[in-house]
Amino acid sequence: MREQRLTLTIESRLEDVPLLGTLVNALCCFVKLSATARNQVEVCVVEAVNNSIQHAYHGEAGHLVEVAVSLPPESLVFDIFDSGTSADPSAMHADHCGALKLSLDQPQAIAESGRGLAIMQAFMDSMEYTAGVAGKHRNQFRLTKRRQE
Amino acid sequence: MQIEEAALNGKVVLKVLECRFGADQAAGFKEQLARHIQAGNRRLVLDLSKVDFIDSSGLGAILSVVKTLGKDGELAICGLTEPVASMFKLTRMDRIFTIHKTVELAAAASAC
Repeated sequence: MREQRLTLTIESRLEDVPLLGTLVNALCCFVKLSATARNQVEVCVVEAVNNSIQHAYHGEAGHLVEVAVSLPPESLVFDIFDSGTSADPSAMHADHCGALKLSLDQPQAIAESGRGLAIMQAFMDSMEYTAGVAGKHRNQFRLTKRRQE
Repeated sequence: MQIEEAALNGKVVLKVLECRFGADQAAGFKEQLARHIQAGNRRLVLDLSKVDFIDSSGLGAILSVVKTLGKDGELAICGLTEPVASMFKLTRMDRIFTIHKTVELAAAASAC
């Protein structure tokens, strides 16, 4: 079976991210993922694109974020590319589940941010980050979701 | 962000009219809620029944309201759709807030 591919590109503006999220959800529907899995994938791709805009591009408009989608028979693969400041790959690949632990007796002390990577680790089957892909100043965030839950 | 305001049982009910509550909406939400709190409204009900997508920035914006309210304030949440409830559960925010099925139940509940 031939592997289908699709590439989506937006400018680095948070207000453009819903366009991508909506299309990713529709794509997941096309390959017959369950409603729960569709929402999980949409959240994770949105988190990765938000990371590119807010951290790699420091919230600056005028840059491009590319989402390349591959559809091998057993999974969906999303490669999110940006050309901004690279993150530390070892930090990206660390276990982030601690970000989901809360001190319930001190709600005032609970962090407002820092859960994106933990959400991606929880909802996706794999998450890989590569800084400077193929010697170029381009960062790649690969998210993979199996089609069978 | 579009938010509808109403009063019920001495509480201010704020209904988010957007279907998506992502990073692009977080700053506007925080500003609007901060204005309500500064105006003296400290018993709030947040109705999320129209929202079918939320990301970590949206969750963070709701958490910021708790901090702005302080210990004397009250924020009840109601109307979670399945995708939003799933995010609350994963991030354990369902343990921080008392979640109610309807606005009426949230407005009738005592401080959590």
